[in-house]
Amino acid sequence: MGRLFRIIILLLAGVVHTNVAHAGAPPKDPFNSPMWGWVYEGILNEGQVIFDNHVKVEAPDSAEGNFQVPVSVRVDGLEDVKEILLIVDLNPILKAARFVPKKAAPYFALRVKMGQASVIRAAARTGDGVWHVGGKYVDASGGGCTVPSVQMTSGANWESNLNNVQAQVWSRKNGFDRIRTRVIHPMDTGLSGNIPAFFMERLSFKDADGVELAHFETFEPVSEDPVITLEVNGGEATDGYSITGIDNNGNEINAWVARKPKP
Amino acid sequence: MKRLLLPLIFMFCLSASAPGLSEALSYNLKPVKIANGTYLFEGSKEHFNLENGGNIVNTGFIVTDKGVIVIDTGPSASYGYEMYEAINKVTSLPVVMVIITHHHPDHFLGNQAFSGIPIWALPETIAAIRTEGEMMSENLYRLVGDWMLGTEVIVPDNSINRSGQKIGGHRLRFIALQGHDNADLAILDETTGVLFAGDQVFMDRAPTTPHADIDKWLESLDELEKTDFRLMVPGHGPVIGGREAFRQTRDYLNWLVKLLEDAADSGSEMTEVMNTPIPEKFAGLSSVSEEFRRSVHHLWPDVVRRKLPMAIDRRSE
Repeated sequence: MGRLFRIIILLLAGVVHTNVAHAGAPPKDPFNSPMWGWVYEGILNEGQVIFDNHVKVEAPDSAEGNFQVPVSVRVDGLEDVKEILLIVDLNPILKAARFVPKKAAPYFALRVKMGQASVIRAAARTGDGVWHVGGKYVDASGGGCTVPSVQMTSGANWESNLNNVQAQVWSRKNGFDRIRTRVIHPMDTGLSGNIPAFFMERLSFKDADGVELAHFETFEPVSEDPVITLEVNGGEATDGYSITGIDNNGNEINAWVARKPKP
Repeated sequence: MKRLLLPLIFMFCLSASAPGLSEALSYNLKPVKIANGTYLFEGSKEHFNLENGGNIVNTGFIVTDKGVIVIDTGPSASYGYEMYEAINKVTSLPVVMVIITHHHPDHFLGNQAFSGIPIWALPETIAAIRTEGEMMSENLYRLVGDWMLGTEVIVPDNSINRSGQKIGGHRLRFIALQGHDNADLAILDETTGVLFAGDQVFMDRAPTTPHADIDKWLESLDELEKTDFRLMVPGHGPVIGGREAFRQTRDYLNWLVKLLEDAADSGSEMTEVMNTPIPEKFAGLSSVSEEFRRSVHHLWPDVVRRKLPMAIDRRSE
């Protein structure tokens, strides 16, 4: 018996051991992601998890470039969704966003940066505390998180446009208002040389009376100049929406979009 | 035991890697004569994959009295070497000039095979290969695997800044354009009437848009279509005598632009746009479903940036 053989035995023993240690704890991940254990413990806090087809994640099979990978999440047929987490397993920063729908549909669309091919997951927590998890595997080349934003490197005067907001509202047939908003922000991850993390942390949607309808917590992996789409209920009661938020340097976001633009 | 284990481990490593280590990969390049002294290597109309090894592109060469002019060098070093060998079977004259039409990886990564020979390109193309060449090469490794072995980025060393050149009995016109890429070179051999259109024109194959400016591209198509060619070599797809490829490329680009702008106006979001069904009219174009989705990736963020109105700023209140 050579030393090599002993090493192989030891390695095998290690694999068996880690499986046993958590046997029965996290349910088996249909995506076989190497980070699932971490996601389960560190982000879902070892709560009850169901891999659930009601949570639909739309994204391309293959990302064309790593900087603006589109993702949409829709929870269909589940009541009382309290929050939805967007997680890219193999990004150096796993959590991309947390969405609290309140009076919005359990739906949103945004774009993320990807460091490499990975499953993109949505975890929707219902009122009973259960995490309903859906996902989509997206192929990608490397590098989206460790490259500085275009505005930081282009020499453009990004500061004068920082946190400017573009937005539009569309009335949908189901009585919901779809709101799309774009905020000018570099969303630097802090993972590329000499540029500190600088990103929008929160974006909140309120009606004319200041009642919050939904909000997002956004993290470094959200793409530069975040474009976020959501659908809020009961639009007829307000003549527009206020869009407020803040970045991690304390810079304020505060804008208003009318439901129907002046002709 | 050790003696038995090591070969076993080796075998496992070999079988687990991409195809091709056991058999030599070959593009099996065969030059087709399309005009007097003018030859084409026609690629498949697919997207990059492990089977085609990146051979999705048309490259060519012109045998003049003073030597051979090569137009584009393909997706990898081994493609370039195969080209070089195939050229040597056609003529004993040396290659004297290599011209690169634009900076996309399937058009210049065979440059290594032509070391020592001047490689020409538009100045913008040279700059773009210098800054993005490595990244594009790495991405092609990811897409086609072992076919890329040994491939290195060789930046063209000569700027084309004149409108033409006479060489060995051929009068070449260099037509500098933009739109498919940041710079696109078309070459009209006025002696034979063959137009090497580069990726400005696609035939029976969906156009690709990773660096496209569609407005400029449409202008360039108009300019190129006016040239007095007899036979056109598109960047991708079969050689054609008439104007059909121009119509196809223009129709597809016009449809794409209108679709994206309408979708932005109606509030669709990016993944919804990607799932748009392809109209019957374009269903016959090779690779159209995947190229359409790639184009949404490339073009949508800018359409949204342009279309989405400014909200009312309340920060000063």
